Amino acid sequence: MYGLGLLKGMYVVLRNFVESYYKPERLVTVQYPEERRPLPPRFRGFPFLIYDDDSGALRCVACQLCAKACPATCIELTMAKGEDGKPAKRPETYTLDLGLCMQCGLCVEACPFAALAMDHDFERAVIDQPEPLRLGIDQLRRPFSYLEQINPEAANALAPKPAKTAAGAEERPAKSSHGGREVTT
Amino acid sequence: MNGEVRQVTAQDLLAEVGRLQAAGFDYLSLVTAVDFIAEDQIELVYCFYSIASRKGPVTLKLRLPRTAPRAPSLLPLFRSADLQEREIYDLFGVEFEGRPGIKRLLLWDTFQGHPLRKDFQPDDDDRPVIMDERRGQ
Amino acid sequence: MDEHMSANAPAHDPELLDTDLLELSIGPQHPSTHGVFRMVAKLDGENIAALEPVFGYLHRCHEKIGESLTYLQNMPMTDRLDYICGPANNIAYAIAAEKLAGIQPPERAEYIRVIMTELTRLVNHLLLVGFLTNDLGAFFTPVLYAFREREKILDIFEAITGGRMCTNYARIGGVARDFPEGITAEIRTLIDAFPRFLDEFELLLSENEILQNRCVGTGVLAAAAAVNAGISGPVLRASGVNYDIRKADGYSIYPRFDFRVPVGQTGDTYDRYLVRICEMRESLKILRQALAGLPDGPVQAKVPKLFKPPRGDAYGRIEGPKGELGFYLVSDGSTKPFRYKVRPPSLINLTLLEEMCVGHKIADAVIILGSIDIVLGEVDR
Repeated sequence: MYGLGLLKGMYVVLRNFVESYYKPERLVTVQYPEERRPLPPRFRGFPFLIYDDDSGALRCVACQLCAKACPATCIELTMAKGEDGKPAKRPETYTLDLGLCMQCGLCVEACPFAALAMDHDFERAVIDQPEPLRLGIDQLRRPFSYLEQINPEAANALAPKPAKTAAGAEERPAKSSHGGREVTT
Repeated sequence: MNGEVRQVTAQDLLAEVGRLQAAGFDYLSLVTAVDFIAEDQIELVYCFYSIASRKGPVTLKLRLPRTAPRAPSLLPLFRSADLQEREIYDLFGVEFEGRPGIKRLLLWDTFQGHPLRKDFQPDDDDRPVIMDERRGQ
Repeated sequence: MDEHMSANAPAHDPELLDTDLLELSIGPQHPSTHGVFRMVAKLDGENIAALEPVFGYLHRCHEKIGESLTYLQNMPMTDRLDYICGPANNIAYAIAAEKLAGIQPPERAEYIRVIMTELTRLVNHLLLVGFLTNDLGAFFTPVLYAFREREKILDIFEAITGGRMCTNYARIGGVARDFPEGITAEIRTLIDAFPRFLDEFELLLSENEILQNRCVGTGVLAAAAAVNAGISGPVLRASGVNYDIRKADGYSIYPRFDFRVPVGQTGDTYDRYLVRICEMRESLKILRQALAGLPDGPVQAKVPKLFKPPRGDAYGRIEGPKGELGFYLVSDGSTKPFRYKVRPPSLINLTLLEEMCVGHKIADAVIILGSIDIVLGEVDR
């Protein structure tokens, strides 16, 4: 009969409509922003700088590897100078340009000191005051416990930096390089 | 390069392509150009495949001088060369003979210059090429 | 006006009828051109007399940028080419770079790549069939049914790679990271439920009289013309040419899998739609086999941190969801590609757009373009 295909199609639509009232697999939307679907741990938002919970010190030693690895050149940092005028192993300024960052995660893969991780924040829209697009250290620092919360797998891989030994030499933490080894971020 | 590579000259390009076609290589997949500025040459690369015998790629490479490069167009033999030759003209400045009026493909018609050449300088001198500048290279 | 004149005027004088073809610009801002794409159509009433595609509205200098980035930094840039099929672009680029340096990825990485490529094929075809029916006028119902399934696959991509469409997943020598715990079970649940969804989707669409009336016989592409024009992918197979790069080149580990290649008969829009539905079913077969055979092991070969391939060139191509997606890389021995060329299937599939559209109505031009499956990120790069 001519029109049978149309009727079959209408039956499918009717079934979808009726079943969406009681079958969860038919109604797949959530009432955002009141309800939110949980993000997977590996979700790549913008990067953030990790500081150790007890000391409050950033792990970053300002080695510039993240800035060199970034395809969009969105990271700029300068190394601080210690009291004696010699370069200290921490960043003076660390700027992340949100307008350029494409959340690819190559900076996190490149960092040998486990100082960067990808955040879960994607809700960056603001209503009134224009937020600055270039984030500094204060806006970028998050504690290691935060990383354990959002991405336990990454937290395990980026093990906390061990304390200085008695001789004063620092131990390097487990390398999370991207060459020749898997990366779990 | 994977597969067989043959170096051809502009004079025997069409004859070679005709031979390939007769041998069953009826699928021209890739037409592109490479700017070897150090050798003052632009190389055209053509990759042919055979649908029936699943063979390929057979690559033809054609070297042209960098100043006023001209090559015969494969459009009379292969329709797939149509858009790809337009792109090579657009981005490298290679002129193709044997096809009516070539037009730019990706850039607007009044654009000056050929961007994929290694010595291309963009017009807007107040904003230099950002990538290498910021890397300090 | 004509009726007035013909009562008194002499027999039909062609010089009195001064008609002209209407030149209409379809696009670049148009909901049905699948991106910023412009077609300059010369219309005789509603019939298309000539059609010229205009490209370049999304040209982002991808290839020039590729020459100033290292091989690894180019990987997230390839996501943005065919932005719907992120993993496929990554894998094609990785295959080309591996050909340059002669690197063989480990077994597990190859299986993971096949799984990601076939999931990408499902993602792409779902979107395509949905938007083709959108162009036909079935306003959004089939799109949202298809997207409901597509969201499940995108959630899987997000769980594995961190990104839904811009996945940045493949690396030269393997993949970036291993599957997380429990994802294979999720993929298995998805592919077990998928045939039922496809059956319902086909019930909705394939025998629909309106769809058949509009699509059968529209935009016929002959096989010989398609081969000569370098058409690839489902468009080529719908025209009756049995050529699938997975079978022809036998790249990666595809020769191990048992799957068929759907081939159309007439090369009209309906065939192109049906080929994609059948390809989705075949992808499910490959996925089942790949999941069953997934071995343990490393997911990345030993590749130096800063990838420096030897001098030379290589062309690596895959059967992407849209056709032959290839990367031609020329290396001068440094860490950055000397020449980085993308062979975009969408651009080359548009070669015969005019021939396919001439003689049809303007509404058919929209569905012919929809059935070719273009994405402007790839066309213009």
